[in-house]
Amino acid sequence: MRKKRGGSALLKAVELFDLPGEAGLGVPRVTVTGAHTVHVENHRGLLEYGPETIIANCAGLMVKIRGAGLEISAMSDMELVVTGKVAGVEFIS
Amino acid sequence: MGAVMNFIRGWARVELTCRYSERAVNICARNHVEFWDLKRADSGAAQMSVSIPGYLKLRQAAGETGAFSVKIVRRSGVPFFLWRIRKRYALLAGLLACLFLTGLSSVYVWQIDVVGNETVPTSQILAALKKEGVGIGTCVLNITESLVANRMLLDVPELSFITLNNHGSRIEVIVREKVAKPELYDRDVPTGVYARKAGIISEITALEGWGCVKAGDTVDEGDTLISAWVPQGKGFLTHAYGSVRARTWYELRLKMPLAADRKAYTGKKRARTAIILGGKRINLYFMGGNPYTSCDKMTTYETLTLPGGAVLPVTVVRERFEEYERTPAALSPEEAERILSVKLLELLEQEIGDGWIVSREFETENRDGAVTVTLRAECVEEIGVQRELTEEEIAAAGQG
Repeated sequence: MRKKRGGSALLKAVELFDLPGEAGLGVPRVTVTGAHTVHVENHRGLLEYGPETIIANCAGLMVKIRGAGLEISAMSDMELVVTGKVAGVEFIS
Repeated sequence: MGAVMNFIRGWARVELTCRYSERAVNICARNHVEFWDLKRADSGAAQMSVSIPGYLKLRQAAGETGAFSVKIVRRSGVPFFLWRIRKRYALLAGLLACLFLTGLSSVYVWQIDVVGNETVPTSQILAALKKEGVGIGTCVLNITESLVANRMLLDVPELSFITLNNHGSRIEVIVREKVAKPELYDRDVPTGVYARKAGIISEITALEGWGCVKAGDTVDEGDTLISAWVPQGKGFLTHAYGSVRARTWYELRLKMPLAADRKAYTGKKRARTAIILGGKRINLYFMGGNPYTSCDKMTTYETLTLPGGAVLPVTVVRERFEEYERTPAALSPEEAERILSVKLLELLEQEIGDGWIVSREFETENRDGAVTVTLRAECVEEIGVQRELTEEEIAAAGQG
């Protein structure tokens, strides 16, 4: 309960000072370039990957990338670059 | 570019076998293993490409966690190639020699490009560069660009600016030429316009001064066409100038004997080749000098280039010798007449400059084994020339 209140206070502070969320809260930042590249920052690991679906675990939610011929062209502990024919990006909380 | 860098650094395609391959991938990401092109193999294992340092980290992570096993599927790149040939000493020595020579050649000038010259010939600039010690085959490290540029300005006075840009083994010379100073009229110096040859005036335009002749007047050489003395008011002296065109007549004559020697090729030919490598000529033959006493020599220089247009520092020189004998041969009168007519017309065109030929006729005479051709032509040309007045002329004009 305390943790939830702390997170909420942090969220309020971020909103109050107009800070970028990915810096203050560690929320994911997803950049889609055309329909062929998705760049996910602040992920916490892969939950599933395959040529049609890639699911990345992020803080408090999951980012699901759907498409065809998807592959992970680069990955580090913070960032993930997915290329292929991207059909959609979903956020699952 | 990335593929080239990966090839140079070396990379391996590995297969991670794990119950949940996502876990293996996450472990890789957490351990800062640099990987790319992650795909799921048909067996369910994860396949990824890793660099050599990445592979070492991957092995360490696999050992520490025990969560997955690593198998190399394929390896590629320079380090693996060098490892394969490590015991082939001759090949390694050749490779090292090639690398050494490539590095060594990059410190020598192989190509000089001159840019920006319009009237000053490139050959003159290259000759001046050569004099300052910069040419094909010069070591780049011995060239001080600013010093050479300053000296070049003294060597080639027609240039106002010069800079040398060193692009590895190519030197780019950028030059700017001086703008010629316009001819200034000294309006205080009394000058008249005089006829440089006799003729009948067809057109006169006196821009300053007093026109002394009009269209249709006949003038002799030296006659005043536009006078410096302007008889208006009390009269004054000025700097007369303008254009005076006149009809002029020419009679030019040339003579040619009909007996002449002619070259007759014997059919004997010889060719030889040399190469110029970095300014040094290497003859690919043993006997120097001309192989025949009387022969034509034709030399062609061919600079080798790569398909992309890059110039190589190799020029192939091909020399062809063709022997001939001088045999007496009589020219036909018609041929002699044709040759002389062409020469006469060239002479006339030199005489009249910007003028033009109104009418012309040729007369041919064949006497004593020689042909004489006479050209008579009527032309229109500029006949006015400026000349400063002498002190006597100025004094006479003042009294007049």
